[in-house]
Amino acid sequence: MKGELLRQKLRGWWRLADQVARAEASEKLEWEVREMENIFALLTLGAFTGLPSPPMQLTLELLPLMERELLLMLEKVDTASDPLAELFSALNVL
Amino acid sequence: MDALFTMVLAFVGYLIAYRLYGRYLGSKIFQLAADAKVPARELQDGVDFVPTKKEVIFGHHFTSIAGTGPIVGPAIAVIWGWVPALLWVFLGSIVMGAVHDFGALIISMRNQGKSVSEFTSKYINPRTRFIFFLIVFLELLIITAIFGLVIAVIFAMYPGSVLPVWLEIPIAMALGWAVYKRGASILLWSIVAVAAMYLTVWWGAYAPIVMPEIAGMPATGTWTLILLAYAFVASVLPVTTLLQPRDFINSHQLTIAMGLLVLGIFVAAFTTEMAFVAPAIQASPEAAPSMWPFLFITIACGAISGFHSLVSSGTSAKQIANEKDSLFVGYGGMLTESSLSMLVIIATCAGIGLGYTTKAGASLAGVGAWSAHYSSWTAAAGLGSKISAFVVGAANMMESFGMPHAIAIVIMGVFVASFAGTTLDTATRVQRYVLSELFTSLGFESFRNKYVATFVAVAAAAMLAFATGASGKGALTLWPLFGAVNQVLAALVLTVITLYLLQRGSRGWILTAIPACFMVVMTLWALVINQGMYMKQGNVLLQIINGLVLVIAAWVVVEGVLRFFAMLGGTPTPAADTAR
Amino acid sequence: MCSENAEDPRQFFFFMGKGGTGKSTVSALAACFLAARGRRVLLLSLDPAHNQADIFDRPFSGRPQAVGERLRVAEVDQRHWVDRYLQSVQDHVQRAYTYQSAFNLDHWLDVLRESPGIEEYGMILAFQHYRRVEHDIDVMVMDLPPTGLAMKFLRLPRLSLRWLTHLQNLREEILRKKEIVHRIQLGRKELETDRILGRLKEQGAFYADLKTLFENPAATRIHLVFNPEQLSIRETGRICDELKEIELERCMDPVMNKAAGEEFPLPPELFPGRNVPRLSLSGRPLIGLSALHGFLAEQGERMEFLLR
Repeated sequence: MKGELLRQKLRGWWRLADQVARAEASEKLEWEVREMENIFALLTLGAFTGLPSPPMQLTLELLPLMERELLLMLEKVDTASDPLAELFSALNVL
Repeated sequence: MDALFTMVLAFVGYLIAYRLYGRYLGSKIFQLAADAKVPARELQDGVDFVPTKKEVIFGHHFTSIAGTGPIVGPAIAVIWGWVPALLWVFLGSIVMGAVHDFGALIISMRNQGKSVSEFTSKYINPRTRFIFFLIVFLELLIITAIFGLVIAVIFAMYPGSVLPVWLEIPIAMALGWAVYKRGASILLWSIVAVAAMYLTVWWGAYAPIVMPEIAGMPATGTWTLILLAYAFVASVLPVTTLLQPRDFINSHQLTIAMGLLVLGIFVAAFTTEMAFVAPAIQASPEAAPSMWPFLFITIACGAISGFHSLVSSGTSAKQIANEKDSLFVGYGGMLTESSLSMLVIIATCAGIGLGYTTKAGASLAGVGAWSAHYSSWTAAAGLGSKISAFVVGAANMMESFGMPHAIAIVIMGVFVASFAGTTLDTATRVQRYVLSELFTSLGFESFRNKYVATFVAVAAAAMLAFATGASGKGALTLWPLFGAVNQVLAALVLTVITLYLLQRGSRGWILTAIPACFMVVMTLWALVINQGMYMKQGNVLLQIINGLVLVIAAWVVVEGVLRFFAMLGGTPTPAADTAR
Repeated sequence: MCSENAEDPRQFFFFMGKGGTGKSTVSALAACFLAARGRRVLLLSLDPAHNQADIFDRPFSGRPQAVGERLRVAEVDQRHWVDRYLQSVQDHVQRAYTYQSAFNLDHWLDVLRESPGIEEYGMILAFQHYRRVEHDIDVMVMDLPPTGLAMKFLRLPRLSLRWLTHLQNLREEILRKKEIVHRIQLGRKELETDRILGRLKEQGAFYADLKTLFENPAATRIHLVFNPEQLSIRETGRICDELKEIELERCMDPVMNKAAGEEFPLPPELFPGRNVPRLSLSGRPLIGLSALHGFLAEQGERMEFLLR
C-alpha cells in the first residue's frame, strides 16, 4: 500500500514539475502573443480611439468578430499606463 | 559537520517560520479567506487574469526573483563574518523580506491586480508614480553596469567559463528554433539543451579563453564592453529568438545548481573536514565599509528586496486562484530564495576552507583560504575574489561526491554568468522603455526610436561601469549602490503595507512598520556614508547617482511619515478598497 | 463575391473628369452611341449630382429604366447604400456582442456616414451590386463623380488590399504563435478556425477581384474627359500621374470635349503617341434623347474609339 501511495505522490510531483516547465517555456511567448493581439486590435479598431486606421469598411467588417480583442484593448489601456510591473515579471528581469 | 548542521537547522527554521509566522500573518493580520474574491476569477479573461495552480505561479515567481543577486550579495557580505550574514539572511527574510513580498502580492490582489506603483500612489500620493520610474531607471542603470562587470570578472578569473557562456547563445537559439518554429517536443529538447550546456562546460574546462590586454585596457574592461554590446543586440531581438529559450535553460540550471550545492554540503560534511573557517564576526575588515549599516545594503535579494514587489504585483497577483495560495507564492517564494543565499554563505565560509590555490600557485586551506579573499574589501581582485570564493567553495564541496574540480568550477561560474547574462538583456529592454517614456515626455522625440533609447541605456551603463575603473577592481563600489536603491524601494513598499494595515484597523501594522523604519534608517545611513566617500574620491558620476537616491530616500521618509500620522489622526485615504 | 473576370464578356466604361468638363453628357452620348451600334447598355450614374436626370430630361432611380432601344439608365443613391451597409453592421454587432459590449451604436452610425472612406465604399457596393445582377448587358457605362471622389473609388481596392494583406499576415503570425503555446502547454496541435482570419481572407478576395477588374484593359476603360484649356489640361496631367501610381494607366482613354473649331495643340508629353478623340461643342443644348441622337448623327464617327 505504501509503495502505491509513494508512486502516486511521485507521479503527482512529476506532473506538477512538467506543468511548471511548460509554463516557463511558453510564458514570454504568451505575453508576446497578447501584445500582438493588442496591436491587431489597435490597428483594426483604432478608428474608435482616434488612431489612423484601415478604410472604415474593413473595421466595420471585423467589428462583430472582435469582442475579445476589444476587451483586451480596454484592459491593455490599464497596462499601458503602468507597464513596469508586468515587464518585470513577464521578462524575469532579476 | 557544523556546515551541514547549519543548513539543516536553517531549512527547518524556514519551514517553522512559514507555518507559524507566515500562517499567522496570513490568517490573523491580512485575513486571507478561501472564499474571498480574487482578480483572477473576477476579471478572468483568459489572457492576463487566469486562475492558475499555485505551484505553477510559484515556479514562475521564484525564477523571476532568483538570479545573480542572492548569490553575489552574500558572497560579498561574509567579509563581516558568517554569523552576521547568516542572521540577516535568515531573520531578515522571515520578518522583513518575505513579509514584503507577501504583503505586496496581497495588496495587489485586493486592488484588481494593479501594480505596486499604482497602489502606492493610491495609499501615499500620485507623485509616487514618477518616483517609481526614477527608482527603476537608477536600478536598471546600476544593474546593467554591475552585472556586466560580474560576468567580465568571471571571464577574467575563469577563462574556462568563456566558451560555455557564449555557446549558450547558439544552444538557446537552436532550442528556440526547434520548439517554436518546428514544434518539437519541449521535454526532449530541454534535456538535449541542458546536456549540450554541460558538454560545453566540459569542453570549456579544457579550452579556456584568455582575453589579452588590449591597448592598455585590462581584460575585464574589454569583456565589459563586449557584454554591453551583446546586451544591445540581444535586447532588440524578438523574445522567442534568444531570451525565452535562454531563460528556460536557466531555470533548469537553477534547480540543478541548488541541488548540487545541497548534495555537496551533505556529502562534504561526512567525507571531509569541512567546517566554518570564516571568523564568526569580523567587524572591521580592512578598507571595507562598516558592518552597520552596510551589511543590510549588501545583502538585498537574499533578505529583502524592493524589486520583488514589482514581480509580486505583476503577473503573479493576476493569477492567484485562491487568496490562501498567496502565502505559498509570496512568502514561500522569498524564503526559498533566502535558502539559496544560505547555501552561498556556507559555500563561501565553509566550502572555501577545503582548499584554494592562489594565482601564484600557493595552496591554501582553512582560514588562510578564506582570508585570501576576505582579508580586505579589495583583497586580491575586489568583486572578483568574492565571487571566486563562492565558485571555489561550491566546487570544493561538489568534489566530495566525485565531480572533477575544474568542471565544478566552470558549472558554477557559468551558472552565475548565465543568470547575469539574461538580466543584461531584460534590463536593457525595460530600460529602453523607461528612457523613452522619460525623455519623450521631456520633448526628446529621438527617443521614440528604439535603437536610440537602447544605445543610451547601454552607453550610460558603460559609463557607470568604467567610472569605477576598467579593471573591475572598483566594481565593488557599485554593489552597495545597487543595494541602496533596492532597499529604498523596499522601505517604500513596506510603508505602503503599513498604511494599508493601518487603514484596515488591524493592529498588525506594527509588524511592517518596524521593518520599514529599520530599512529606512539603514539605507539613509549607508547613503550618507557613501556620499561622503564619493566626494572624497572626487567621483562625480557616483556622487550624482548616490545623491539622487539620497533625495528619493528622504522623500520616502517624509511622505511616508506624513501619511502615517495623517492616517493615525483619522484622515481617510483617497479611495477605499472594495469592501475589504 | 465570385470572380467574374474569367469568362465575363462585359465591358465597363468609366467616365471621369473635373466638374464642368461635360463628362456626364459625354457618358450619356457614349451610352447612346453604343446602344445604336447594337450593344446592350446600362448607364449608371455614380455621381451624387445626378446630372443624367437633367440630360435625359426625365427622373431616374436605382432601378434601371429603359430609354430607347437597348439602353437602360439608373442613378445610384450613395446615401442609401451607405445606410444599408451600416444598418447591417449594427445588426451583426448587436447579435455578436453580449449586452455588455453593445453600446451606443446609433451615435456611431450617424457619425460614420460622414466619415471619410464610407462614400467611396457606398459606390463600390453599388457598383458590385449592378455588376452582379446585370448579366444581360454588353457594356456598363459609369458616370463617375468629380475627380476627387472618383479617384478614391478607383483607389479603394488597392488601398484596402494593402491593409488586408498586412492584417492577414499579423493575424496568421498570432495564430502560429498561439498554436505553439497550445502545443507546449497541452502537448498537442490544435488548429483554430479563426473567424477573423476567415473574414480577412473573404474581404481580400473581394478587393482582389475588383482590383483585377480595374486593371484589365480588355474589360475596363477609364475615360478622362477634359476641355481644351490650360487648367483642364494640367489637371488631366495630374490625374494621369495618379492613375499611373495605382497602375491603371493602361485602361486610360482621354477624350477632349467642347473642342472649338481650330486644332488645339496638346503638350506632347501628355498622351504620347495617342490620337485623342475630340468632340466639338454642340450648337444646341443637349437635353433629351432626341438632342443626343442629333449630336451623334453629326459627330458620331468621333466616338468610334468606344468600339476598340
